[in-house]
Amino acid sequence: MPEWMKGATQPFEKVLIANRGEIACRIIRACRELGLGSVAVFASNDANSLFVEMADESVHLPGEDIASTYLDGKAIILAAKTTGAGAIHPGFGFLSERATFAEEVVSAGLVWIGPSPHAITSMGDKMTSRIMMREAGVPVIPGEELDLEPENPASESILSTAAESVGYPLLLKATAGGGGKGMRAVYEAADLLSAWQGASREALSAFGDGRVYVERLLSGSRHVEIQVLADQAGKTLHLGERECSIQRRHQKVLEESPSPAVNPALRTRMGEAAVSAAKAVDYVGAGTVEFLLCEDDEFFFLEMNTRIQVEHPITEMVTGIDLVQQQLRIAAGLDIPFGQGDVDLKGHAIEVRLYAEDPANNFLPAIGPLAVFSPPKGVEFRLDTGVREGDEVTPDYDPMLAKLIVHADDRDIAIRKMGVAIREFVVLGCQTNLSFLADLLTQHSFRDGHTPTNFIEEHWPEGWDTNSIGADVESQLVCLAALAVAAESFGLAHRSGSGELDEEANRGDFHNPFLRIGRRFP
Amino acid sequence: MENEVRTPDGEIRQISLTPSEGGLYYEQMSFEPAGGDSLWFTDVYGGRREVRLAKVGDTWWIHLDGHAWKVDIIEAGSDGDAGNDSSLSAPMPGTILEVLVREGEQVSAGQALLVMEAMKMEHRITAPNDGVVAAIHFAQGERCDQGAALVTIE
Repeated sequence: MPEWMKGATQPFEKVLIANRGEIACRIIRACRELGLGSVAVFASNDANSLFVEMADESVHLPGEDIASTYLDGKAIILAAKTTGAGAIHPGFGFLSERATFAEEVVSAGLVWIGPSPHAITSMGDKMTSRIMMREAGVPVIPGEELDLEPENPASESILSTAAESVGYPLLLKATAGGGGKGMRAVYEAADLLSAWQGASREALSAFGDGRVYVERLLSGSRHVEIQVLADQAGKTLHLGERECSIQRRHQKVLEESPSPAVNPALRTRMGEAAVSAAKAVDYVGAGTVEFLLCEDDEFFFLEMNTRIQVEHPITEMVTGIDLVQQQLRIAAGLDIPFGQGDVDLKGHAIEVRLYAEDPANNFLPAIGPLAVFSPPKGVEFRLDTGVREGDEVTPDYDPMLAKLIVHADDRDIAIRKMGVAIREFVVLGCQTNLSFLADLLTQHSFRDGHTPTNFIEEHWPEGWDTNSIGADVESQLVCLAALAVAAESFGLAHRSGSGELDEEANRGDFHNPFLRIGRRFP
Repeated sequence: MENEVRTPDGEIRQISLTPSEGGLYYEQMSFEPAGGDSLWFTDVYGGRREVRLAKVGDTWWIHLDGHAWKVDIIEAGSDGDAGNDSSLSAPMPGTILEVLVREGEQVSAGQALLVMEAMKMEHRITAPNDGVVAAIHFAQGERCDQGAALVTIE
């Protein structure tokens, strides 16, 4: 048992990671740094993935789809038992916010690295959490909590009445939602019904719950969230904010800490509200309280994510606190070894999310082989990645491939540093959003810190296009054409990364999705 | 050394390179192998840099000055306009959730034609230009492969 674990009330030596991709890699690294063993679980189509390679041990989940692999709680608990793992870390997504799974883990005699099932349930239902937060004195957005069943014909009129009273523009949100799924902005009454049907359908397929509620869309506002950390003894701290306003399809694209819109006094007020929110559900572990921050410094509770967050690295960079290591320590029953007064935000950190998607085609997810995946060198940065060169991006999972994080003395230097890092990052074979991110960083309003949640729609109302990086410059196009012909003439290595992509060798292999779909990329 | 390529603006260009000692020339640019997946590229101003490339299918992916670009090689004898027919193809493998138009219907550019789900998100497939829906190739609930023709507009 590692030295630091001595005195823990719930000690463990090996952790099973019930997740995949970059967050699984991140957790495995934290386990390794703390002297803990790691166990990965993986679906067949992840057999060659980086996280499986990184883990000390791995267990194959033989199912065909997500429900019978990464969402199969029983199989995962069995894997923990078989390998002798004493604790389960759920990462984010998948089972991380399923209270029933947390319960099953605990009843199996394992340590659950997360908050109590009660905290997950209370915060997971947006209506319940709104009501609880209002009672705890945390401000909530004006809105209507509705229990709408898609099959019920009366829902239509209840919905339009609620919409009129909340006012337009409004936001329809899945009660069980998260990650932008089951969410629709509605600007006029004519679009209400179809937006509701779409949101409800998406929510039903993503969460198994089609209920939707309606709230005011506060435009010009920012999405600012507070990281909280609480131990089992009830000590609850906040670790400052993350500015996450820049989003597309209601998913974050770029995050930074501290927020250009938050001064120390506001940070204290928001931090205290976040701590109240966490305490209201007896929160334990790392969690995030999301707020909408308006121009007059008024803020409203959006939701609490009862898990580690994708953008947690920027908080780690500015506070110097490793959140995943803290999660592991707290789950073992150890106290947080510092107080609120010790938490200080130093410098500025920015994270960009590398998505396999086509920013010039409404950010449509893209697939393809990572024929070249070459992160920047020579610049101080952190890369949290779930992929490496030779991997294939398939439509099976989320299109987020990696996160690039920089830390510098101030915001201006951090932006410059990120700009250099993005342009040095070479990804070939699969479309990514890197050029969009590079362009985003050069926008004056971004440099000035004016980043409302509708930043992308406002800057690129017709959608982003490659002309902004020179796709309409004749001399550039001629260079590209000549480079392609030169490479063709020299017979440059056909980089296929993993041998599986070699068309001749694998012709007819039905299980190779890359061959199955044909070599046409959007 | 003569080749036809489609550049990111959608145009087809004919490029004829001139061989010279160890390299290839085009107008005032020169190209030399730099080992592995790279070329030494000297531009018209004499600026020399290493450019990384990768070929996937008929497409060369080129990382030039901080951005990744795609250039398609058009094989001799193939129909260079194959990618520009009037059928809208599925950008991703997925499921058709909703068909919003009927065959014979007049549609305008930008109008939503169908809704599909791919990678757990809904995507609207919109008309690229004004026209009449000549054929709808999938029904609600059907799965489609990437590149499958979804709707033909004439």
